[in-house]
Amino acid sequence: MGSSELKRSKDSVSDESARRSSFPDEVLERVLSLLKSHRDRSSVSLVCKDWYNAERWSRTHVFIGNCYSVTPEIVARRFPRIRSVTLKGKPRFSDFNLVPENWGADIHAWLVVFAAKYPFLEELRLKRMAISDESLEFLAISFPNFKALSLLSCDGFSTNGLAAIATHCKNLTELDIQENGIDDKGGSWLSCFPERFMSLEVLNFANLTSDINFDALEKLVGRCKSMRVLKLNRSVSLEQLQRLLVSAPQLAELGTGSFSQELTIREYEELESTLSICKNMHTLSGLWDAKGIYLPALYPACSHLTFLNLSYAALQSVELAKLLAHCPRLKRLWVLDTVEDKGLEAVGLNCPLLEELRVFPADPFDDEIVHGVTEAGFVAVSFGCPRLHYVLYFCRQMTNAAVATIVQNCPDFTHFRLCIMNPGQPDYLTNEPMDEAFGAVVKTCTKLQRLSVSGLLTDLTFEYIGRYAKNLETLSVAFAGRSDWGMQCVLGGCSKLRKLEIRDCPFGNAALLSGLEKYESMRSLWMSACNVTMNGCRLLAREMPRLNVEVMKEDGSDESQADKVYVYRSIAGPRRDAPPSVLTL
Amino acid sequence: MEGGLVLLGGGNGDASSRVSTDESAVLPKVEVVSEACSSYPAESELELGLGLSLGWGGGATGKSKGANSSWGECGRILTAKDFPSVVSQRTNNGGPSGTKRAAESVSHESGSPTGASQVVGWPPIRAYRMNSLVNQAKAQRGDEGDSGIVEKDKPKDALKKKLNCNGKQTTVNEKGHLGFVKVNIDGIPIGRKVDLNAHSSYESMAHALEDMFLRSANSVEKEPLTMASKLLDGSSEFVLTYEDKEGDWMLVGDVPWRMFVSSVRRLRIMRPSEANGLGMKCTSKTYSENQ
Repeated sequence: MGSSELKRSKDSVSDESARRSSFPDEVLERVLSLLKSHRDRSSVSLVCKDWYNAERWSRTHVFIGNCYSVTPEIVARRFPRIRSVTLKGKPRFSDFNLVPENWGADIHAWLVVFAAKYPFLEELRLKRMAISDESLEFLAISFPNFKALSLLSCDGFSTNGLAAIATHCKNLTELDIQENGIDDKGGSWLSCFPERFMSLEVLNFANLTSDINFDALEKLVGRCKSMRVLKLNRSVSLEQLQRLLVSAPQLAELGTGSFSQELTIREYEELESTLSICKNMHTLSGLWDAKGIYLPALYPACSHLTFLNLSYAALQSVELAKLLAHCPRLKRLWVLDTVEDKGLEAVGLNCPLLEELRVFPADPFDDEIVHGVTEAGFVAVSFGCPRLHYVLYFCRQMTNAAVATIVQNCPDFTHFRLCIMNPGQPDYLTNEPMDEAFGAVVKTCTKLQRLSVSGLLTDLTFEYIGRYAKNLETLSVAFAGRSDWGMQCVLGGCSKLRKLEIRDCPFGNAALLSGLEKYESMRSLWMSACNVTMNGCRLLAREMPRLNVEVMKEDGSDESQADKVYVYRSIAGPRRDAPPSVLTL
Repeated sequence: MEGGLVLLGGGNGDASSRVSTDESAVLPKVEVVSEACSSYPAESELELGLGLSLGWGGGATGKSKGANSSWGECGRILTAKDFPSVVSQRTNNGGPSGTKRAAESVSHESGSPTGASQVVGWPPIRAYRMNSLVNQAKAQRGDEGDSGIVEKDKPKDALKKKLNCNGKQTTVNEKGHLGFVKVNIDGIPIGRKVDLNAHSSYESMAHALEDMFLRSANSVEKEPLTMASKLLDGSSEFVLTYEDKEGDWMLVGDVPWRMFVSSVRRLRIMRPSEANGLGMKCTSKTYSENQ
């Protein structure tokens, strides 16, 4: 042993590197096929030509964060063996009606290419895409191996499209329809699943409002013994739920229908005992119109619950407290603010393992009454749940001191989304801006990836963000800031920034143009109702040919103002399917 | 007699200006709240006790934003409607353009729906979730329309539909479908909700209301029964009234409890001077009377 041995091993390494070019591609591909993360794969592909090729031949799943950043032909050329595609389309603010209806992000052109190049496509997951019934039918008949369809926040289709999927996709394992703008023409689509069809593992139609054919559903659930996720819509009653559960006690994720039917004592007891055999359940949602008196039926099923979504059940604090006492393993909790601060205190007391909390407003527009949650509830949770790392919190008042306490208790935040619902509202105790609150967040939470700010904010908030939020990838800003300097701080300081969305802020051309080089390393920038002009946008488009700069004008606005600007990097060039209201510069 | 009533400025001359909607009265009040709390401990405690956000934004305290007409009267939460003028003051080039606002037809006095409901896409809640909440509220109301809340023209967009309930029972007076009714007290546009199902008598309800509105955070003397009777028997500063099915305002206590519960749409704690004749609509007034 000693230095001579070391020298020998070094020599052998350099020998190997000379032999690396004859290292079999198949082996490298096999090794790389074990890589799942698309970011790892991107890194791998940059190592050298061999690795680039091995990676592209071994990749089976492609994730495209912006459907306009690349064309389907380019994707198909680079990755010949894709079996699963995830595509995202419209800018996130389209969820809040800020993007015109016919903006684009239509899936059809992609499907046509996929049908030719990926006939063995198995999975398609879409977010904020436009998809028509014709496209769904095309999908259903073009891919014989098709297994999983997930549509989140999409629009343009109706239940007829779902009928086509049910009819033709013989190997379907997953049908996940979530929060879409769907034209609900009735529940008969469920009857379109063939009699012999039994492969479904995931069925989520909570999105739909109309009555479904319960008979067909009951038979379907009875046949599909591998079903692990079942999320019903509101039309399914408690009694029907009980019947379904009898055939599917193995469910891991359950979304109930309406939880408020009048039950006899016997029916209640039946429900309770059926639920008690669902020992695999780790996710529970639905619970529309949940009546407090029926909630105890859930208790026996809650012992292994890790995700409880009560965001459609307007519970009061006491009801929530009692329920949570039975959910010691809870990691994720979504609630309505009807539970108030008292309910959140119960969260802090009962859920020590909590990692994610989302509190939605039940009544966002009613300013006439005292209701909802305050900073006190958030603080209470932070004391009891030190593992909290994801929060979405809608409230009507907040203080800098409370936020400082919260992040002191929970320094591991990766996602901090605070929405003080009245735009530009200061710390209600001190009357000061909320700068120090978000300053505390970015200083303390070094792992922060996503931040949404609100309340009265000066440029100081953005100075803090630029200086401290070194891992920040997504930033959402509304009704904040004082001058261009704020936005410049963010663009200059947040090296990992990928998505920046801004509305109603006094940032203008100087701010926009300060990020010239930055935008190519980002996925996208959105600015609406700011002080950006058409000239500023044209300048940006001219200077940065690899960026697509799109402006959406509003009726009756000033000629020179760029009301809504969407900037994104693309190797596909300017898009040709933009509607007239969208100007591509 | 002072008891809980002082807290609402009953016996305090200075405080009576607090309930004015006059802007010039607002600023001094703001300063009172934020700086000179020691001079008016009862009021600041009351305000905090109500849990209202009464701080005003638009820059450092003391800076005169009162010049803007949009600050409204005391107790109103700063909303987006106030914002455009603030922003345009902050930036020199006229502020943001293009954010759609509905016609600003909302009056300041009545505390009816304000800025948050007039801004497109704010608060940032997915359209799907909004529609879901609206549908839930509709289903619970049955065919009833709005239950008597003063409302202005609404944007047609369903997203901005004002919800009258928090998922529980509404203020609708359908048989057996009662629950929470809104309660407002004169001078403070932000009200509360009281659950009528939780009470079986006027005394019990009045006590709850006294607790909600008239009890100081640090009240030393707590004489529940006497205080309750103050609201009901006319000996107090304030008078308890309600709006019935037909839209008429009546004195609470005249009809049997059950009958009251089935016909009440909302409650209002009024000053006797305003309650004369009970033909009053709910607007805020300037109090000229001394106590």
